[in-house]
Order: sequence, then structure tokens, then C-alpha cells
Amino acid sequence: LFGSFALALAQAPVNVHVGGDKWWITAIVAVGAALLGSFGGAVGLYYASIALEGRRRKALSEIRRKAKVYTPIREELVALRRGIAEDRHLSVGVRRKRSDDHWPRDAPDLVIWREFVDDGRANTTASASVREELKRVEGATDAFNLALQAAQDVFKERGDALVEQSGFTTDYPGQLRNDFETLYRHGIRAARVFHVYPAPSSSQRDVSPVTSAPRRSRRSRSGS
Amino acid sequence: VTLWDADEALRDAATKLAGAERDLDGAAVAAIAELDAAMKRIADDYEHEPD
Repeated sequence: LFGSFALALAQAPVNVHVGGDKWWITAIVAVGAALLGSFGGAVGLYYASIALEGRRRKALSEIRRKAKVYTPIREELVALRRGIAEDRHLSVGVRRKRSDDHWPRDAPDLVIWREFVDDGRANTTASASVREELKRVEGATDAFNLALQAAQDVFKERGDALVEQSGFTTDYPGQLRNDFETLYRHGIRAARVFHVYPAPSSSQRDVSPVTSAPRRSRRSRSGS
Repeated sequence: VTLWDADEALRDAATKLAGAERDLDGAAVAAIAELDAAMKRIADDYEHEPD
């Protein structure tokens, strides 16, 4: 407002009385215009800085509001990936609910996003694309847990049948199921549980007395 | 034919488990990337520079 006023005043015709009796009027007008211009500029800067500060505060508020939701979820996802890399997801899978007495304690969790969904914060804070991605993670987690359960059941069934056929007994019920993680990690991945030893005449036969087939077989029997 | 090949149930279960494991890790990676992108979009919208 003051800026506009000063601009209109500056554009108004001014009679300059050089050498006249009213020279001081010209001086007053000039000084007044300068003062008004300075004042208008200062007011404009003031309001501009207020607007900028408001925008900065709004940005910080928005970022903090999002960070309160996004940061813990991100940390949980990073921890989940670390748990997968360290094979801590092969025992009971990925937990979907918090519990104080769960075991083992180092199994990865995926609980935070569901809690945000349940208490209503998910829809008001997370963007549609984030909600979609996290929904996909939950679906993949459920699919993994189901696949893990199915694999454990198959391993238990086959393990029990092998034990029964071999005539040996396990140390405790469910031992083979509990050994699933070891079997899967070290057996399936390293392809050793179902390893077929080369025939004695094979050129690839391992002749080492430490790792040859008969010695390994006896050791595994005594271990079970 | 190895014992592993002969037992289709074991093989199928292990294959499905490995696939589910890859899908889970891939979904987690995509979600982390989307979270990062979402935070960056907010900062860009407000032309916010970290303090």
C-alpha cells in the first residue's frame, strides 16, 4: 500500500521553482518522496520476510510431520533387509505384530506401518504412492511367511520319513523342524544335504579323509 | 538324478521360498526408495534446504 502510494507520488507532476521564492516546497516534496519510498520499501521487505518465514515454517512443519511417520517405517524396512541378509527371517518368518515375549528376539519385524493404518494416521500423513508401496511390502511379507511355513512343513514331513526309515530317533520332538533353518541355509544353499557323492571310480571323487563321504555320513548320523 | 531332484516337494518348497524371499527384499527396496523420494518431493516443493 505504502509502496503504491510512493510510486503514485513519484509519478505525479512536480513544479520545480528554481531560484523562486518557493524553492523549499520542492525540497520538501523531494525529501518527502524519498522518505516515503524508503518507508514503503522497508514495509515491503518486512511483509516479504514474514511471508518467507511463514513458508519456511510450513515447510519444516510438513517435513517433521512426514518424518514422524516415514522415518520409523524406513528404519524398520532397512532392519528387515538386514535381517534377510543375515538369515534371521528363516526361523519364525517376519513378525507382523509386536510382542514382549516373542522368541527368537532377533527375528525381523514389519509392524509400524500397520499400526499407523490401524490408528488412522496412514491416510492423513502418507502419500498415495507410499501407501501403495508399503501395502506391497505387507503382501510380500505375508507371502513369504506362508512360503516359509509351507517349506518348514515339507521339510518336517520328509525329515520325519527319513528318520523313520533310517531307524534313528531324534533327540526331541520337532527337532527336524527346528533344524529347518540350518538345513535350508547350509544344506539347500550350499547344496550339501542332497549332495551325491561321486562313485569311487569317478575322477571327481573327493579322496580327502576328512571330507570323504563315509566319514561325513557317520558324523551326521551320530549328530542326529 | 540326485535326491534333491527326485524329491519334488522339497525342491518346489525351497524354490517358492527363495522366490518369496526375493520378492520381499525387492518390495522393501522399492518402498525405501519411495519413502526417500516422498521426503525429497516435500523438500523440493517448499524449496527447503536442510539447516
